Amino acid sequence: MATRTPSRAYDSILKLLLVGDSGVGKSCLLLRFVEDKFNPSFITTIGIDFKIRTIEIDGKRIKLQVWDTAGQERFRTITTAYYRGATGIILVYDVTDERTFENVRNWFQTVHQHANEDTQLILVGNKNDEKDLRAVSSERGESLAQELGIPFLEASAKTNDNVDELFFKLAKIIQENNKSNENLNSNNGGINVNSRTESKGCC
Amino acid sequence: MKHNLPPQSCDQDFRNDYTVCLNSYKVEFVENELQPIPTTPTPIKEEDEDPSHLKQDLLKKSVTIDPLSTGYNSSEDVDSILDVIKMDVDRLIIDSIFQNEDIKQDILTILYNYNNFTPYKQGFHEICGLIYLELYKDDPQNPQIKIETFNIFTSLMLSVVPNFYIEDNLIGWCISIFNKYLKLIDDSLYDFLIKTHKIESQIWLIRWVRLLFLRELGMQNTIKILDKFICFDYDLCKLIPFVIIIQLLKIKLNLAECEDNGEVLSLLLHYPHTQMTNEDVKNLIDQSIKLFKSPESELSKLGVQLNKDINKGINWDKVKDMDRLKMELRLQKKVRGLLGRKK
Repeated sequence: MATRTPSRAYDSILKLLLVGDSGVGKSCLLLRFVEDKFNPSFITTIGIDFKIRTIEIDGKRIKLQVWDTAGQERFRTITTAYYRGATGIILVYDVTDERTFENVRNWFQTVHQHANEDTQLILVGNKNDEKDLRAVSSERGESLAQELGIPFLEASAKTNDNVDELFFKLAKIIQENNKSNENLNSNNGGINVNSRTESKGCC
Repeated sequence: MKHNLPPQSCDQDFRNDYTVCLNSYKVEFVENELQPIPTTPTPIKEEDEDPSHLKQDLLKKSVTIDPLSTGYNSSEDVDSILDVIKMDVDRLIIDSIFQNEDIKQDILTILYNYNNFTPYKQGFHEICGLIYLELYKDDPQNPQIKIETFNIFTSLMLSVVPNFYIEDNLIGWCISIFNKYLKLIDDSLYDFLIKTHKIESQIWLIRWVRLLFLRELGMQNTIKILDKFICFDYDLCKLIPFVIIIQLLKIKLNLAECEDNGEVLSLLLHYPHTQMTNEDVKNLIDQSIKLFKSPESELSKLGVQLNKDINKGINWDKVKDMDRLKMELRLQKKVRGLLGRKK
């Protein structure tokens, strides 16, 4: 079982953040991923919660610090502290609730305001087990993700469908991005870039 | 219900069945002043181009006094706020009584009416639920339970909302009050959290203070602490930083053993609490009051003394920083291991 292990041996740490409207199942996805548990009525997240799981990708042990945020806090200044240093952000909506899907664009904008430009995003439609209550089709989720230029998955914390896949996929993309950045730096034809990171954003 | 008792009577009543008992600001609404929850979404007539006009009507009907005048606004309309409140009340699982539909409706009515004074924020529901539960335990048949909960909740939140639920104030409180006292009382812990691990206090304090320790220390401990605060009419918000700092000193050795800032944060957000006895609570409050009343120049000395009282077996006069503490703990572990092997 993958409960929080105080495993000292890890090759890198990634900070991931779960965001999305209240009630879409962010905490349930996290609980399923870290403790393999599901609780249909989960307490409201106040501020943040935080869980750790170490995973292995391509032989590298990666310690994932996953921050779970409160859905009501989108516009709040306090959330800027949560985004600091996040390498991956999981945008969650509920496939049975159209409003939460409509709000994805707002969350996307909020994330862009606060996160680093190279932070990797992923869109997730949770509760895909609720076949009769589905209000947002997979195609619409996929097409929104394409429009936003980010990967997409549907998952269910309840049935454990695609939950591990979601976190592994995100971690893997971040790892690959990091690798290609390293390669880019090392393939500079011997030009010393003084390990200066290229400033991508404005000022 | 004991909320009409004078504070000194509470002392005698400070027994096993604690209750959040005192409506110290004497908020005294009566039952028929509570507005019913609209059963259908707030209708917006076509000719009403500006929906805020409707909200204005609603305010005029329901507010008789405004005890808060907090000045923070919310763009969320009544319907979506009601949806959030409903969702949170459905997730109120501090006790099985909240599965009862009538009780859910009571909580919803209280929070809906309170929203007319102060825009609903997640967290209100748990404090409200806690008060309701305590009154329910006193008398499950109490016909006044809804209005009494509303009045006590409103009274309690008079200081909690402006300090902890208005975000700028919360951030200001964390930096200029909490951090300040933490540095004065235990400089090494301040350096460890804020300088070494770069953990901004508001990140973890938000839940500690907004829910008045409910998640961190557990419901029974929280009730005992709040009861003592409220019975004796202590200023909750002034004592809270000292309560938290003392609780941090209790896990200082665990904190020292953390490997990275993730482990530190995880510990702060999953505080390893145990059931506190009445004596423990009394000590905690007494120590908090002592720190509160002491001049700032005395706090460092009192901090060392607290460390000595709480974590015995460490030479606190010599162990001045967390790295040294970590080394000391490793050494002690090693020695214990060697002694164990010899036996």
